[in-house]
Amino acid sequence: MARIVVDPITRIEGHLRIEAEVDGGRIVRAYSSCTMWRGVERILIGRDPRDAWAFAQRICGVCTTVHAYASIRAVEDALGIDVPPLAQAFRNLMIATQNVHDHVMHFYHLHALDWVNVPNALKADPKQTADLAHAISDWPNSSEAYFRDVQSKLKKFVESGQLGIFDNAYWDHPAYKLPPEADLLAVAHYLEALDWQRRVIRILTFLGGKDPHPNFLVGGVPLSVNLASPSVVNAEVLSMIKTHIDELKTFVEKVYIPDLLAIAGFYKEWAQWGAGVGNYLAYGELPDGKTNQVDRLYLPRGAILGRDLRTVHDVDPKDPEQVQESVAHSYYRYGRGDDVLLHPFEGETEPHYTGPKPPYEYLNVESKYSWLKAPRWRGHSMEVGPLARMLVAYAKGKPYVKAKVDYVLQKLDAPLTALFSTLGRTAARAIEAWVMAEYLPQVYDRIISLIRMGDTTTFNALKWDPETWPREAKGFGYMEAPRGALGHWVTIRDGKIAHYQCVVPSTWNGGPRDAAGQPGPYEAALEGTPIQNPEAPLELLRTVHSFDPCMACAAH
Amino acid sequence: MAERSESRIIYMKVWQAPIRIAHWLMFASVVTLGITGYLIGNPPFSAPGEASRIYTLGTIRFLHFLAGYVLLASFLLRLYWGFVGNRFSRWATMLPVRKWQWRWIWGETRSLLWPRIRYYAYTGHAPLGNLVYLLVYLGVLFSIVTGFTLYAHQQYTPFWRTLGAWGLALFGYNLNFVHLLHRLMLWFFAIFLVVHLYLVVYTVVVTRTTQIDTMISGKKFVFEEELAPEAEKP
Amino acid sequence: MGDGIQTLHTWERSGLLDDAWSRREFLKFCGRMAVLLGLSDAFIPRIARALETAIQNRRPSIVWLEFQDCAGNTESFTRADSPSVAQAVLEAVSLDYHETLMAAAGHRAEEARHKALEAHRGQVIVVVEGSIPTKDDGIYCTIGGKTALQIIREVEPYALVFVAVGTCAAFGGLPKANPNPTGAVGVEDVVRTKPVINLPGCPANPDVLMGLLVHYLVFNRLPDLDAQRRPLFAFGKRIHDTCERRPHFDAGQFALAFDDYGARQGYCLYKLGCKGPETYNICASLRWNMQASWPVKAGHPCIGCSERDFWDRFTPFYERLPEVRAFGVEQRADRLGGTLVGVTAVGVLAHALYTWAVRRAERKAEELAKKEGEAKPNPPEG
Ligand code: HEM
Ligand code: HEM
Ligand code: NFV
Ligand code: SF4
Ligand code: SF4
Ligand code: F3S
Ligand SMILES: [Mg+2]
Repeated sequence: MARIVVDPITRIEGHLRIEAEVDGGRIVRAYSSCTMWRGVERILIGRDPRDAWAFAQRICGVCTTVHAYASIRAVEDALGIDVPPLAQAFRNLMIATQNVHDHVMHFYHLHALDWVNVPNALKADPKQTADLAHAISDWPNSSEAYFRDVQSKLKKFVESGQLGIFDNAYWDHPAYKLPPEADLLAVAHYLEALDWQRRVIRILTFLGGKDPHPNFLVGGVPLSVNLASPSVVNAEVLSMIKTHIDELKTFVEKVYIPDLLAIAGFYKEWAQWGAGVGNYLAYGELPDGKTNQVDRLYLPRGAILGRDLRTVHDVDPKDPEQVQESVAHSYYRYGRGDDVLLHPFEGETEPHYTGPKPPYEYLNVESKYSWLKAPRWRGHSMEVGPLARMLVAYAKGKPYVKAKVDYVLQKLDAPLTALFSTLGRTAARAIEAWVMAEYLPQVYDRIISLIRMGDTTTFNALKWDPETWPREAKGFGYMEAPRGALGHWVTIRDGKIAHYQCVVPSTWNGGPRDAAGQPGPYEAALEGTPIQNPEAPLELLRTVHSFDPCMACAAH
Repeated sequence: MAERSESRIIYMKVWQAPIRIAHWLMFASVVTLGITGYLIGNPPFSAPGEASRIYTLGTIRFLHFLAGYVLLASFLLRLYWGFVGNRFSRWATMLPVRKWQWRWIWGETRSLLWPRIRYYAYTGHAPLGNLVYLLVYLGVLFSIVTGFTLYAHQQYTPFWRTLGAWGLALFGYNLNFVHLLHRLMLWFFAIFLVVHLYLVVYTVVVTRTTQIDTMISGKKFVFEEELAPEAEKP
Repeated sequence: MGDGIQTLHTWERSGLLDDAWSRREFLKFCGRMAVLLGLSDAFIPRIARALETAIQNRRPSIVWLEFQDCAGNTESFTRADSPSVAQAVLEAVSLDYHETLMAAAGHRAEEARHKALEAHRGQVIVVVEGSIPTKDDGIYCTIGGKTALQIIREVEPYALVFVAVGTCAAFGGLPKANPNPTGAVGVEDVVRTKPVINLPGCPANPDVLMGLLVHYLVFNRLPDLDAQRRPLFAFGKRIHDTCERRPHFDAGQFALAFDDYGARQGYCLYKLGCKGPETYNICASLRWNMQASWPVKAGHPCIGCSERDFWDRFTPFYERLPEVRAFGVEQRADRLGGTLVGVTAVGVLAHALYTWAVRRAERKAEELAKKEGEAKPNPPEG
């Protein structure tokens, strides 16, 4: 039995290490370890709750915005603040934009190189590449000359001998299966997506001032709408936002989805591997009404156990029996002993490193081995993320999700169960981006109609002043971040934060074993993943990347 | 107590012109700085209208900086005069470095705390006042340093840049802290002013010594019997 | 105009546009860089030439290390405007190690770093993102089994310069915020033998990083820095002095609450806690995300995200100045001051009354004594 170590896992956010035992060409056991911790939950103690979003937001610069929202919703929940309808609509616009942006960047810039062989694109015939492009989409950048141009740039780059970020990868690995033409197409879109993303993200900049890390506000949004002012959100800004929404939607429909289908077509065997725990959790997102009107979420809340789509369990994140965290294998210590599970309102974050002394070769996986806690829902290890959201929405019969899932499965000629896999996870992300891309014009129209009706209020000042707050209050803020269900639990006492806990998507997915020895979703998904060459564990990367790990988030 | 009206009046030339000028300039500038500074920190207005035609806070800030320069000038004048002026204005006499000075300070403090103990007049500074004035000059200096550090960070010439960098280094590269300290000095001066005015009037009433007119004319009239035993007599 | 320059453009514009357009865009870019770096128009051809040369020769090697970060600066970097990250990475520099973007993983990734270091000994531009934990031997951040500190020590001899991008790398940033659970510090606190340039910001503005690289390519030296090692071209002025809402500040026109009349007019955000007066950064003139906007323009006060320890010094964010700890509680400076003045006034008044009462009692006693004294020498007859 060989033990392989991949550290750093690259093309993710943050510091992840995977140790895996390989036997007979397959991973039999895997250990997921996050190797960085900052202690944001502790840093938040004693702060003004209205500032908390800015601290929490900096948990992650990739899914920037999501921790800000979770924090703001937690504080608003605690203090009983409702946000005006226009502010809610602006928030949804930003959430959906961020989601699509993150998914596209993940697919092209973080995940694609697991499937797309960059040097191989040099062998492509640009003419055939153009034919391929025309066959899958009517996206305009598809002429033979265009691909020839991209290829010659690539050639020049490779010949310079300075391969930069493309250097030293597993390019000679036999698991790369795309024909050179598809590789060239994907390389072109890698670059186009890089350019596209910095334009569409301007939606967040117009509304939040910058990105990463735009600005938010407890009680609403910080921007004001005044069609008569040149200085705030006016018709011109709105029309620029609309332009970018169109651009965003077109790219998802004409580039992302066709590319996904084309590439997935060559890798269908990946529908058998990487399923993992088979339990899925979603808090739901895009509130149509008030934040906590759970029945009015565009993407619904619920849990699925054992891949059984017939039953969607109700989820209540404030119930002390449901969401809990274990630190049995995490570098923390609980006051009541490390084998208990704690609900976040009772959660503790007391670091207690017992790992090997750096520099080290292997982790001591028998005891504590990660900076992530192990979150559980009613004791189960749960997968969160686009797949979980699409499954819950599908199971709850949301037509705008069901149609797209069915379309993709039909195009790939795959059964519904194919979704429980590495490939299914990657496909679900694209499907979700598509759902969101179609949601965006709807929420934009809602914004316009509210403004037309004269409802331009973006901030609720009633509970802004700490004098109006109760002595003590507790709140929960949910958020469906790109990587999955995110929750912040806050306790406010005497106008200051007294207690703060975050349970984050990549903690759910990437966490270590719990007190009962149940592996986390990465660990479970890696079991059974084939490894042709332990020296070049490309397949391991595929499955881990399909979750889109974010360790800064996960450990926080 | 003896009959006061019968005692001899002593007359002395105490405050030389530069002291008086410095004092009243300081008074005028500190009051201006306090008012304008408060308005800079808490502008209580927000008038609608075309911004380019209004310059309310701009004007207030201008006055503040102007007064800042006046304060600096008066401070420098006073500083200089402390080396060349008469014995009442000398730093050498004002610095409480000798034991007996502290004994006097305690004596005056006692008579303020327990009014049954007799409160005497002095020809120069009263010992406690003397100490407080030194503290006030330190406060003035501190306001000048913090004020000009803030000011330097609004000018972008090499001179101000250098000065601003030095100033900031003094405060751990924390410009916000400089603002805070500078702002707190407003309250330092407000408190001083209350106490100062009270004690000036107190001295006049209790010891029938000229005070305010002394700061104007420089001449001081004291009843001999009101004079502290240790006070200097002509 | 060499082939290289056209390449620089067509990467971004996907080769759809003709050379003349590319050339114009390129010169426009050089012009923007000149403005950013505070150079006159005369420098534009020089910038263009230097970039061309860089493109044709060996590109400078960049090793980008991530420690206690949120990858916000990496994300920011991908949003660079001119040059775009594609232009920069494929044409101007060689990004030889960058965990978030690089294809290689695990040992292969580390090998790529070692190769780059060996090949460019003493010439590597080491970009650092995120703070460095120093508590408990640095176990709060390890990569490939080595701590952040060990990696810094390994890389230091090969570096030309360390560029700390983002407030975390420059000054410790968020991880260093009170109570700093991991003993986080900035790069300047651990690098001993090589120059450090700070590009703070949370995140740093990507165009400032590009400006720094262009400056290096054009002049072959590092730009002028201020006392906190920040390039003057980007950190030479306060937000407040370049802010488009400044006329409203001078006019005394303020938003008094979010979304009030003033906010809707675009008035100054000073009274909502804006830290523009204490913050040195280029946001107001350079803006963000291809000049779309910047925080104050979009209605939120500047939180001073590029300043040292702003997480502790500039909070609470919606107050202009921090609270003062006095008499066991946190209070606003003016409330504290006002209270003290009030207490003093009351004290003074009490003193006056007390003195008056004492004096009156004394006088009474004197009068009584006098009366008695008058009575004594003339005992009653009889
Ligand atoms: C903010 C305002 C003021 C400040 C900072 C201030 C400061 C000072 C200082 C530093 C001295 C000591 C002079 C020296 O020897 O250098 C002094 C003395 C004096 N000030 Fe003021 N002053 C202020 C306002 C006033 C006002 C309004 C009056 C009169 C109504 C006044 C009356 C006097 C008198 C009479 C003395 C001489 C007292 C003595 O020698 O004990 N001052 N003041
Ligand atoms: C008795 C002396 C002074 C007092 C009581 C005083 C008071 C104040 C106050 C209360 C503020 C508002 C602080 C804030 O909230 O940020 C202020 C700001 C300021 N003061 Fe002073 N000040 C004094 C002397 C000076 C001097 C000597 C200068 C030098 C030029 C100066 C320059 C400034 C500057 C530059 C500001 C910041 C203005 C701005 O924000 O634009 N001050 N002062
Ligand atoms: N995991 C995670 Fe995040 C996301 N999406 C958030 O909560 O990436 Ni940085
Ligand atoms: S400076 Fe800000 S954006 Fe950069 S790593 Fe730190 S928290 Fe993230
Ligand atoms: S908004 Fe902020 S930076 Fe702009 S003028 Fe007002 S205080 Fe200054
Ligand atoms: S918050 Fe930061 S981004 Fe600029 S405007 Fe202020 S320095
Ligand atoms: Mg947590």
